[in-house]
Amino acid sequence: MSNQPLVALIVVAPILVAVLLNLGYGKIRFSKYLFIASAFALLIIVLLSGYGYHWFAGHPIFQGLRLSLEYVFTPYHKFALFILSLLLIFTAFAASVSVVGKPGVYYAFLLLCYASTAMAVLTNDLYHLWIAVEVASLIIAGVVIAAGSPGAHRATLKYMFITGFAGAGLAVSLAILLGVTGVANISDAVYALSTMSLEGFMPTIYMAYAFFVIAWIYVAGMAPTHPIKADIYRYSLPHAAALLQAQAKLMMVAIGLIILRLFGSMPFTRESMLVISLITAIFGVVLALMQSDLRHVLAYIVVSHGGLVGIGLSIGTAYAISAALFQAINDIIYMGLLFLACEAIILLVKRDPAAGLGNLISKAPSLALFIFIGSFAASGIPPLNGFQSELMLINAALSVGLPEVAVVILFVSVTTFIALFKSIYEIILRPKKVESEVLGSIPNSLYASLFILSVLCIVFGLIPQLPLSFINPMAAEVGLAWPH
Amino acid sequence: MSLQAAAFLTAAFLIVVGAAGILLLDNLIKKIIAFTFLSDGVNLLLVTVAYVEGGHVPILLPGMSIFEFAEKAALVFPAGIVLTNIVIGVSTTAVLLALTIVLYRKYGTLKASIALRGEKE
Repeated sequence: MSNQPLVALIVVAPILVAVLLNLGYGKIRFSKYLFIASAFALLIIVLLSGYGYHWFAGHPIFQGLRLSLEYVFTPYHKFALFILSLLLIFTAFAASVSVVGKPGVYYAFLLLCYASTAMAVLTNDLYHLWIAVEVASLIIAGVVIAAGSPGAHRATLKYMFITGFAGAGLAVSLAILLGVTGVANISDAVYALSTMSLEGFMPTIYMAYAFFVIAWIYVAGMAPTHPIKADIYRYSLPHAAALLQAQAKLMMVAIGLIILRLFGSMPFTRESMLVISLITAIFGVVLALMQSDLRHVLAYIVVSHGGLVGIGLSIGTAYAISAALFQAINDIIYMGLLFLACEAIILLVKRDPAAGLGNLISKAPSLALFIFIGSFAASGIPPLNGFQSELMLINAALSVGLPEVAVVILFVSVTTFIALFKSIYEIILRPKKVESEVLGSIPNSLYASLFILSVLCIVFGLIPQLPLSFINPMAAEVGLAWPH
Repeated sequence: MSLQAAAFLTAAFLIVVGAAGILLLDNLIKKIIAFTFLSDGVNLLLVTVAYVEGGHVPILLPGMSIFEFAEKAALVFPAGIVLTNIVIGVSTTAVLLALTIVLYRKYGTLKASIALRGEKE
């Protein structure tokens, strides 16, 4: 086992580029090319990084304890960050077309969004985890404020207030774990909690668990924060929403896995997470049914599908965790596809993708095809990727004797289909007497992005073993038996 | 009551007052003040966790044995977290205040029930 310096570069490089973008914010061409080039460079760094650890204190394991702040890089991390890097490239191309003025600072925020997500995904210590959650909230605020609408300002202010609870809660949880175990490294804390006598400490440990769950709820937009998180997606620019939903999914998985490792074997912990996930999955998709603007529908479906990922993590068996991680990756892909398709519609007709648009299929048939693929995948229709992961989730629920959970997953799947196609019919298929005027064009780079994401939806649906070969080792390591 | 217990109680009081203020107060500026209470409470909690009765600063001085250091030194890690939390707290407060100014200009009120719902008073 050796120190892997490239792994730290996945987080450090975007921060350095963000500083450069801030310095040259007035130079439009410089900002644009630097942003796109750095997005490609990050993808290459992820691919070149070797599996292993990066120790910030510079020393390896000491007498069985890790002691240091560290990043871990396994096949799952490589795969998740590969997908995130791909989405960053697509976001960079979309932002370079649709953002006008001096966009350097905005590009810097998008890169910092990547950096904070990568930090949460890679970290194996409580300090980096807490920093990632706190910094991510400030970055989300910056990205949403950039949309400039009063709705965006209101959504951000509400979001910042709940940040107060989540950030403070995670810091309290960190303080409790430090006080009880004396270590900040998560592997060391897991070892300490499993070997030391916790007599008299259990209420305190449960308090740490509760604060961790608050942070988990916050990053994923779980109930009761789901309307606030949905507002974040619906009021940000669509390409930014594509990146933000990926951030939320990867960070919720990262925190969920840490909760499982630290507290998963304690009574009632996974059951309570399961209840929260079920409520979120149902509420999110029901609220999606009530929307007409496609962006608003997608915002609530993202939140609802976060509940599906939460269900898999809460069940916590190796198979359920595989299903949850697979669902998270698939969600990032098809929701990224649909948000970028919204961006394409706005560029084409210069208005929001809402009811009244109509008959888009005659103006942009290939765009309509990409939207259909994304929507079918999100609704869990075979042979696309959403079908495979939702089937795995249903099997995971049935295998631990929870058929009611399987019914909820089916309900979410069917309701997603209805909510999406209600909106898509209005935008794409509904015949109109007076056609909407085509006022702009969709750049080839955006078409290429939609094509690649559509291909991923199909490939991961037809060959699920491909993504699962990266995911399964991590799931097997963290998986626990379901408490009967 | 020991110094550490008193500090724990004070931290808990600040956290509860801050959380209640964010949830219950209707004035945006008061909500932001409550947020700073919450943040300060967390900082005090972290400092208290690091405190060692009769201990010393976590610097290995000449002539000090490693065992004496391990037994008496205050935990160094929470100090780093507190420093970071202060920086993040300042940034968050700045963003909160900036957004409050924007919403006040738009809606002409500091009432959260109106400004956050987007209605004119």
